[in-house]
Amino acid sequence: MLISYALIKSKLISNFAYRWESIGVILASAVEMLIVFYLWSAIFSWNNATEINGFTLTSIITYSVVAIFIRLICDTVIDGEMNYDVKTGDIIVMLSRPISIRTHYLSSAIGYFIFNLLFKFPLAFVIAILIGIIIPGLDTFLLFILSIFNSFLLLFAICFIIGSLAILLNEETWSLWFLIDALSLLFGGFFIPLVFFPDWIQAISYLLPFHAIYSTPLLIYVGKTSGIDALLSIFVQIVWIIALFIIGGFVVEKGLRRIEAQGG
Amino acid sequence: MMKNESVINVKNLTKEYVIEEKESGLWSAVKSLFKRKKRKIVALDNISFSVNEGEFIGVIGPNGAGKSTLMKILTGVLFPTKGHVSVNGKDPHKNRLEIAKEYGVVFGNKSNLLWDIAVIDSFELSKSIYKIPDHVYEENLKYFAKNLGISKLLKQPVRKLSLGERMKCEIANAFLHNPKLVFLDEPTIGLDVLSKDSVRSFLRKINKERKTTIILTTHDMKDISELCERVILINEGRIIYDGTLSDLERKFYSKRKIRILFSASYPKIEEFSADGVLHVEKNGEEYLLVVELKKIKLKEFVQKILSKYKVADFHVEGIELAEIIKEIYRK
Ligand SMILES: Nc1ncnc2c1ncn2[C@@H]1O[C@H](COP(=O)(O)OP(=O)(O)OP(=O)(O)O)[C@@H](O)[C@H]1O
Ligand SMILES: [Mg+2]
Repeated sequence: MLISYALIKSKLISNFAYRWESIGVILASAVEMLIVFYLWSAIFSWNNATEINGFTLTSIITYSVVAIFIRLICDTVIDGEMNYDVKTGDIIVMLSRPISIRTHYLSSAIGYFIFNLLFKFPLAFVIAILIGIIIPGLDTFLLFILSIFNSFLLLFAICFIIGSLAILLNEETWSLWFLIDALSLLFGGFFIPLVFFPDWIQAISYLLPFHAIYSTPLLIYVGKTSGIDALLSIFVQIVWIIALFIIGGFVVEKGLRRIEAQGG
Repeated sequence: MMKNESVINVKNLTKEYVIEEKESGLWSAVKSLFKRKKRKIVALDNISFSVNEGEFIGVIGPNGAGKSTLMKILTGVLFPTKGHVSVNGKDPHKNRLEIAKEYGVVFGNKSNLLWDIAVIDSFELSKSIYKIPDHVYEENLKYFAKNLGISKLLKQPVRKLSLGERMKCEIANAFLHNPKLVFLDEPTIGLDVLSKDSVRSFLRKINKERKTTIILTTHDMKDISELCERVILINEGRIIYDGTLSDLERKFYSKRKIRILFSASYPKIEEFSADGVLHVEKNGEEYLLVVELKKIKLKEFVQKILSKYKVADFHVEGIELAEIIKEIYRK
């Protein structure tokens, strides 16, 4: 059993208890979207440019706004949740249930993701449209949805590894997220598309999983990758998901062995 | 296999924790990044026992004795350092997910219910995780709501419940899937006198009616005296007693209180002094004597008093379990 529907449902209900808090998060994203809008507008008018590295002003604004959008929707809080469970010893309770640790946290993350889709997605999308992003065709949009679902799984897999390290090392690891997050913003092409970077950064970024989180769905959305290329980039996402799930599974198994020996 | 196979079998079980000592101070914290001092704690030391179906067992012992550790090993959450454990004929650690369906558990200081959702939603979650059939679920819900007095709590989110209210819901949750075996680690913490009564009669009923094997740890000796025929007493990781409650009282505490009301003359306190009489006091009409059974034959002692004085009323009582336990822990 990879996920538990009942647990997803419970977590979804839990999240609704905090729906008003998430308004703040959405507003913060709206502010970020405004910032990138004015930033790129300034850059283009200063250069009198119509195109930079193949991006027009509207397409680069769309890219940056949708990037913020993806980060808002795909964020999982699993690393924090796992750290909390290790610190409080609640992880022991989870081990006494007939579902595996990964099923538990994956279901929890999906519950949160669905909450984001139901609650944050519409609000943030309206804001993005008001700012003036490109609306793609239906086929592009469907590929985009598929690829941000993969982005969610990738972020989950990374957070799960961080959380599993907390189990393994018996230390708090949530601050590791800040490092990973920063790396993913750079090498994922979050702030600016990867083509804006020198070759060596682009080379490194294709060795790391982060481009599959942000760059892949973004390039699909703005139409830079389409057709076979789009499907290929989604395939690369899936390869990374599998690789990271395997690593996470390995770390959590090791971690559970430690807990079983040392008792939390 | 024998027909009367025991539900739990523990043989020569030892559990050691290795802990990293965290010294105080900044410098030590920095040093500990590179090198850590390790220390071994023997939480369970070569213990053996077995449990038969339908037994209600109380595990008692002072703080840090190893009770919770034992519960965690029996539920498969921790693995033993040495020794052999089997639950329902299986190694609980190797078959953790499978065994987890067969037992119910309450870790008194942890929560099995989800914090942010209503109690009933958590129950629904258990229904799905444990694959409880509809009719069993409905029946149990009704039965538990009535017997534990939790019907009014079901719609409330767990985080808004008082400790005792939550505890009762946790207990209900542990029994929801009709487990044949239930571990309760301090399930009565936080319960008021009335709630304790309802929880105890609930547990007694379930144990009798459904033949559920229950293993309970507690610091409340009334839980033990009202529920458990068998007691396992653990101290510093070792079983120092395993047997019936009455034997425990006899073995570890050989003192009795005798209360006497005299009808005619009131004897002087000194008249009772003898080897084996530990204490005499007079409260108005009533005399209280504490005698040591190892030195005095109770029957003869009482007969002597009855023949010597005119006695209106008397009775002999044991000493409360709590006091016995106190005495044992002190030794
Ligand atoms: N995770 C752990 N790591 C290291 N040592 C532990 C751990 N858990 C328990 N211990 C130690 O093992 C011993 C037994 O602890 P345990 O929790 O089993 O006691 P207990 O009988 O349940 O006590 P209490 O009545 O206070 O609940 C104690 O000395 C405790 O400090
Ligand atoms: Mg304990």
